[in-house]
Amino acid sequence: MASSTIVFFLIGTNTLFAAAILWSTLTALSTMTRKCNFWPRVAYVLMGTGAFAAILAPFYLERVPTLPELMFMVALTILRLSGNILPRQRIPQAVSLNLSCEARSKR
Amino acid sequence: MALRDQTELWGFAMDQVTSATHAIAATTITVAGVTTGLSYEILLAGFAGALASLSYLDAMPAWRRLWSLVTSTLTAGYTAPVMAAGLEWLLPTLELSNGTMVAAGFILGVTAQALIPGALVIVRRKSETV
Repeated sequence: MASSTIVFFLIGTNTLFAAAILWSTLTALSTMTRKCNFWPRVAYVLMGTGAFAAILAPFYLERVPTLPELMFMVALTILRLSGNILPRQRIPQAVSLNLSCEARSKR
Repeated sequence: MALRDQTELWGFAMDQVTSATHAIAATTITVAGVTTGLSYEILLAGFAGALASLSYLDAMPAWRRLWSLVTSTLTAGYTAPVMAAGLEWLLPTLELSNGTMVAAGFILGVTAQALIPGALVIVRRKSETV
């Protein structure tokens, strides 16, 4: 009983945070232009693919996410959503990905 | 005609058919007991390709954004084996491996948003001429 509860908690929480990351990734990639920097583009593609894989993983060979994977997912969600849902001032600017498309295109 | 005779007619022994079926069922995604025929790795590659192409497309509403991802991923998932077989036919030195299929899935995911409207235009023209 306890183990099944833990499994459902891990799968549910991981799927929820992965969906949040995936949605924010889609939003970021959709607003990107051709002039945007290459590395944020790669980072967002990798982030979205990883979130999609995390959502699909329970359907594939019934794999349950581990606790470290869940910790990574929660941390990435907090960093990604800083400024949208969470206040940006509490997170250092250096750790949040900055698209800076407009600033880069003006140089 | 017995089932055994039918399988021998197609050149397969029954144990070969069942082992191949089990192999396909083991490597494809099963949703609520239904085998979708989609491979996990190819689907991920197609999704990565779709995300990469999304970053180069114009800004679009949220539902259209999701729909383009779904269509690109499903197109890659279902047609990547065919493309990989075609690549193997074009380049005989290329082995039809899982890596080839994953690469084909990524290429299809990137190009699906241009391929699908083009394919629909070709089908529409063919249907008008027939």
